[in-house]
Amino acid sequence: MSITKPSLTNIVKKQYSYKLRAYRQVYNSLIALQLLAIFFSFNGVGSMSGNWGGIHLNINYYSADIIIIFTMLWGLNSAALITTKAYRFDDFAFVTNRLSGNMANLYVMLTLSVIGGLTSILSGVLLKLLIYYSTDVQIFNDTRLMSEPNLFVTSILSASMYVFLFCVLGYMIGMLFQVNKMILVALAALFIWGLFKDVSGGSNVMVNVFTFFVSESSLFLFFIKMMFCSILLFSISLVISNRMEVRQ
Amino acid sequence: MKVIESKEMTKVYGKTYALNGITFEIEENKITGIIGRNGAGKTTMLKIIAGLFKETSGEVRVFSEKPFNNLTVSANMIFIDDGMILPASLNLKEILDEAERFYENWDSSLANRLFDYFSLSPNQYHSNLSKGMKSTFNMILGLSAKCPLTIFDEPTTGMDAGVRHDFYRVMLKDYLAYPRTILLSSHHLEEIEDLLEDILLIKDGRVHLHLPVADLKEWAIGLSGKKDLINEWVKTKKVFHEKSIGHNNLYVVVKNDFTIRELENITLSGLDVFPVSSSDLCMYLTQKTKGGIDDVYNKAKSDKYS
Amino acid sequence: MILNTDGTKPIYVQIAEWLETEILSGSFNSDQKVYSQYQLAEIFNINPATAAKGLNILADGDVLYKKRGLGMFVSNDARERILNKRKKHTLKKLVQDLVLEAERLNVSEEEVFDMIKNVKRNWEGT
Repeated sequence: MSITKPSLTNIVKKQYSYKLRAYRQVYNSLIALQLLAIFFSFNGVGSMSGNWGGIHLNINYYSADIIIIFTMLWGLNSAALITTKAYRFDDFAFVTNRLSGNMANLYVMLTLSVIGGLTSILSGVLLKLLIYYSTDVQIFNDTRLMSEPNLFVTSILSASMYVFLFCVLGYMIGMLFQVNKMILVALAALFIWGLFKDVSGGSNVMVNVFTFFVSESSLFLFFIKMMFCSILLFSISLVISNRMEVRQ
Repeated sequence: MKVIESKEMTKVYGKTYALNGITFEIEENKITGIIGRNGAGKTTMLKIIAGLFKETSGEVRVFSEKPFNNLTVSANMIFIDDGMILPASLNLKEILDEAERFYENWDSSLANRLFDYFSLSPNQYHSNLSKGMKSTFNMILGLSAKCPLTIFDEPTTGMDAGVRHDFYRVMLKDYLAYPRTILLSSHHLEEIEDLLEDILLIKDGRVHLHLPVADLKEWAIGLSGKKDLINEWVKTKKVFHEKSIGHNNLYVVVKNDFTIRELENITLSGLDVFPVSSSDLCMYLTQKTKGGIDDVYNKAKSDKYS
Repeated sequence: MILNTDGTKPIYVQIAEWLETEILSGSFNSDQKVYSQYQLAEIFNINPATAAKGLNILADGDVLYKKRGLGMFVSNDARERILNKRKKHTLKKLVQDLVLEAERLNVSEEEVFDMIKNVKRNWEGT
């Protein structure tokens, strides 16, 4: 019997489509989480009210923020999930090596992020429609879809980027966890330290990390930052997983 | 062509040597039986060959490449064991479809016919199958993939006698039609020995014997009769097994390097000569003591009364 | 034929003997092609290498001859060779066992001869 020389791209492609089918539970959890997020968003993310000459005015801010945050956590969790033994062993049921497995996972995470980003923005639209038709709230100002399609696309892209960053973060944490369970404790400690460690300007490390991404006004720079961090996190995961044995 | 070459393969967990210098070569298109007691290192060795584990030291080559983390080895090899983990969210039919996408030589007509023959249902999930059915399904995967290197590690766990028989038969028939290198490990040598060409006996993380099965049958010989007479004949021989029969009689298994003349004289001197079955021989060879469990019991008894 | 797998006789010897019996019984004539190693493997559910070993014993004993790329064929004098071999080996071994057992039981040579004659007479009588 002659030996076949497989090409990496070919195997990655096969694994990618295999994983999209095999990981179908993650879509269910996405739907569940976004519905939950819509429910939580029903009261608005911020409000102010006041009386002006006998008129009582109540302003509520509704946005897709909670939905996006939930979706980001979903990305984190889903990515961590696919680093667990059971999922890694699924890889090795068929043709694979660690590089092809990781590459396929990267594409899966990209796909999940786009699905997550797109659905969370659409869920935001759904939220506004639901509020519009089910309450007597008047919507005064709604940017996006109809008025500014460019902004709509940009928001989908950046939401996807956020989800992707969290996916890659979850993937790395998951991989570290597979090597040593104590890593999780160390990461939690690092996170708490970040919350309480003050840096100049009265904020703490965590806030700085947060603003590093959020307050970036240039879309291009935002993407660069996102890409850089994602590549960094993913490379760490790659190095870790190359040493792991399977099917013990 | 050599499909597998292993030089001084070791695997160390902490301070324990699971494998302690395994050296052997396996030629293309042979069926080799991997035999050994529990814990001898069979599975560890097979997983290193499959590229799932990394050897601690030594040189391992499969298709002339290092197997660990190797895409070529993975694409041309299938490893079937009783702990196979398959995607929980896919049903059996979907798993077969995936396998078809991954393996170049996949034989879907064989897969489907076996699937129907063993009454598996397409909508079932692997995790819900009984032990025997799981093994049956794994076997279908292993055979239909038609990989140049096919490894079955204890493939018959939980299968009933009928299915085991069918499995061996279909494996042989498919091998005759599409010769390939097959490694087959089993606790039941007597069931598989007729299918094998070679046998690789592993003991304490080392290769104890590697020879054609046909030679194994003549490799050792059993003698029984009067103790003194037997001791006379086997003085210079390596004794693998001995068992007292009554007070004066003894049964021994020794390496068979007697000449035909000597064997005739042995018979004429009144001893009985027996061939030793391969599975008995392997059991004797892998035992810690010559008398086996009898030694343990007798020792315990003599300790008690002394 | 069901192979005897209890280890008393190597499988390839059993294959060779089975083929001999087939030739003696007239299933294969001189210069006729016999089963290939793969057919034998399939018939008896054994490894083809073992089957080849059985064929090779017969080829070594000139019961069969090889034609390159075509397979194994029955020699002209296959029957005589088989009969001769069986006389020389199988029968001799049986007689050895007989003599040994007779000695253990203190049965004299004459008695053994008589027993053989009796058996023959019985068969011819029926």
